[in-house]
Amino acid sequence: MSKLPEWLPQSGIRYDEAAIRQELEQKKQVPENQVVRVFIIVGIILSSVLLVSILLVLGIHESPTIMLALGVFGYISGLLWHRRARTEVFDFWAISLLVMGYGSITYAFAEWELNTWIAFPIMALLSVVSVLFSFGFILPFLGTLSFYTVLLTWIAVEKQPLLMVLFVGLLHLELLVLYLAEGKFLASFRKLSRHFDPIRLGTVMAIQLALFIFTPFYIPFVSPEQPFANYELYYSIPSSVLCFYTVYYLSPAMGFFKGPSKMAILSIIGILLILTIYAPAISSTLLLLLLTYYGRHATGVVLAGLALIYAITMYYYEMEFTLLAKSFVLMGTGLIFITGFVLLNRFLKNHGEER
Amino acid sequence: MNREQIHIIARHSDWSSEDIEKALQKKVYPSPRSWQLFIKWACLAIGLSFFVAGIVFFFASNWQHLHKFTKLGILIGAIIIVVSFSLYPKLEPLIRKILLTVASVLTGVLFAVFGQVYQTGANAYEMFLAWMALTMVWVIVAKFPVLWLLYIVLGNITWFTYVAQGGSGYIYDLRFEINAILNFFIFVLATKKPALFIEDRKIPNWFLFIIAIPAVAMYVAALINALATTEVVLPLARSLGIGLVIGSYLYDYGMKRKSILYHVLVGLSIVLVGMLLIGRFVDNYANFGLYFNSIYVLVSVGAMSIFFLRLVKKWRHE
Repeated sequence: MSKLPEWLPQSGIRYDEAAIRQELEQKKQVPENQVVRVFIIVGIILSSVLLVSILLVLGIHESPTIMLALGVFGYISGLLWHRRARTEVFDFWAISLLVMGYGSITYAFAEWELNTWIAFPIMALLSVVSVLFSFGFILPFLGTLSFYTVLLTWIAVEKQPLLMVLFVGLLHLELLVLYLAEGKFLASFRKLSRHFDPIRLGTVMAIQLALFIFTPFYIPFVSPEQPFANYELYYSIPSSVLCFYTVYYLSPAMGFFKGPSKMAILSIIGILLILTIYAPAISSTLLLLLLTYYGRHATGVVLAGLALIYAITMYYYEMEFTLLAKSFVLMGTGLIFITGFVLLNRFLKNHGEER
Repeated sequence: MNREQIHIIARHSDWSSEDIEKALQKKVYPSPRSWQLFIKWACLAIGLSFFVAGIVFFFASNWQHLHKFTKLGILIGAIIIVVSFSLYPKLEPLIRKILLTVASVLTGVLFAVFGQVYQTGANAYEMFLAWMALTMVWVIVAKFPVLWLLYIVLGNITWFTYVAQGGSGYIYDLRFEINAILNFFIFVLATKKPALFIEDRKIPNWFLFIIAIPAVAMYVAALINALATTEVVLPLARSLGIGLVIGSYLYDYGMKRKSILYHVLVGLSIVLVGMLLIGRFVDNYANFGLYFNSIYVLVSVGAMSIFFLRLVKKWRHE
C-alpha cells in the first residue's frame, strides 16, 4: 500500500486517508506516460475510422436511422465498457467504440441535415457526458476537445464572427484560470479536479484550433475570410491585454519584483504586443507559452512554442513590404533580441542568480 | 511531492486553496532562476534566428544596387566576424557553438549567392555537398547537437537532390533504403560514440529521437515503394529486412536507456507496415481486407499499449 506524505498527518488538514492511499496505489499500478498516450490516441483514431469505414462499405450509411441507432449503441456501450474496463486494452477498445458511435451519430445528423440548434447541442452534450463519466486521461481529453470543436463549428456554421470573438476570449480566460489559479480550481471543484490535466490540454488545443482553422489567422484556403475591417483587433486586443496581465502577474515569479527590471520587462512586452496588434495569433500563442511554462506543462510548452514559431513566420510572410525591407525588419528585430540577451546576461551576472 | 500527489491530496481533503497554491509554488512551478534562464536563451535563439533569416532575405531580395563583389564580401566578412567571435575564449561555450551554427548557415547563403552571381550551372546537390564539406570541420569541433541536426538535414537534402539530379536508375530505386541506412548509421554512431556529438554530457534524448524518426520513416517509405512495384518480392524483402534491423536496434537501445520513445516509434511503424501489408496482400473480396485491418489495428495497438505501460511501470519500480 502506498505511503502518505510525512507532513500530512501533522498538517491539521482533514483528509480521507483510505481514498488518498487507494489513488496513490492506483497511480503506481497503472503508470501514465505522455508518449504512450499519443500512441493510444493515434490507435483510437485509426480504429474508429476503420470501424466507421466498415459501416460505410456495408452500405449502412444509406440509412441514417440505422447509422444513428448504431451510433447510439456504440456511444453508450463504449462509455459503459470504459467505466468497467480494468485493463488498458479493454479501455482502448471501449474508447474506440465510443468514438465510432460519436462519428456515426454525427454522420446521421449530417445526412438528415438536422437543424443546427438541435444537432450541435446534442453533440456538445454527448461530449460533456463523456468527460463527466470517464476516467483516466484519454477520454476526458477527447471529450473536452470535441466539446470545444462542436461549439466552434456551430458558431462558424451560424456565421457569427462576434460570437466567435467572445468564445475564443472565454477560452483564453478559462486557460488563465486553469494555469494561474490552479489551487483555487482544485479547492473549488474537488471532484472534477481528476480531469484537470485533460481539460487543460484540451483547452490549449482548442484555442490553437480556433486560431488556425476557425478564424482568418492563418491558414490560407482553410481559414474563413475576414468578415469586416479590423477584425484582427477584436481578437488581439483581449489576448494582448491578457498576455500583458499575465506578464505583470508573473513578474514576481520571474524574479522581476520591482523598480527598473519590472518596468523594463513590462515595457518590452507592451511594445512587442503593440507591434503585433494585427497578428492576434502571436499574442495568443505567446500567452499560451507563458502559461504553459509557468504550469510546467511540457506538452503545452511544445504545442505553444511550435504555434508561436508558425505565427511569427506567417506575420513576416504576410507583411506587405518588399523582400529587402523585410530583411531589414528581420535583422533589426534580431538585433533587439540579441541586445535583450546581452542585457539579461549582464543582469543575471550582476545579481548572481546564474549560480 | 509532485503535482500528481498534490492533486490527489487536494481531491480527498479540505486543503485550502492558498495552501495548495503554496505547495504548487514550492514543488511544481519554475523558480525565478528557471524563468530568467528561459527568457535569456529564448532571446538569444530568437535574436539569432531573426538575424540570420534577415541576412537570407537580404540576399534573396537580390538587391541590384549591390555589386557582386560587395554581395560576396558582405557574406565572407560576416562569416569571418562570426567565426572570430566563436574563437573568443571568454564567451560562454554555448554561445560559441551557436555562433558556429550561424556561420554554417551563412556558408550556405554564400554558396547560393556565388551560384547566382557566376551562374555556375552546378546541380543543386553539388551546392549542398560543397556546403557540407566546408562546414564539416565546424560540426566536428563544435560538438553541438543543434549544429549536428542542421548537418544531418543538409545531408538528407543532398542525398535526395543527388538522387533526383545525378543518381543512376538503380540508386533511384533504392533511394529510400539507402537513406534509411544512412540515417540509421548516424543514430548508431551517436549511441556508440556520443563524444563525437556532444561534450562532457550524456547525449540528449531529443536529438537521438529526431535522428531515429527519418530512419524509421524511410524504411516505411521504402516499403510503400516496394508494395507499389510489380516485382514485389525482392524489394519487399529488402525493406522488411532493413526495417527489422533498424527496429531491433531501436528497441534494444530503448531498453538500455529505459526510454519508451523508441518502442512507441517502432510500434507505430509496425502498425503502419501491418496495415499496408494487409491492404496489399489480403484479398478485399467482400471487404475482407478492411475487416481484417480493423481487427489488426484493434489487437496490435491494444497489445502494444499494454506492453509499453508495463515497461514504464517496471522501469519506475527499478
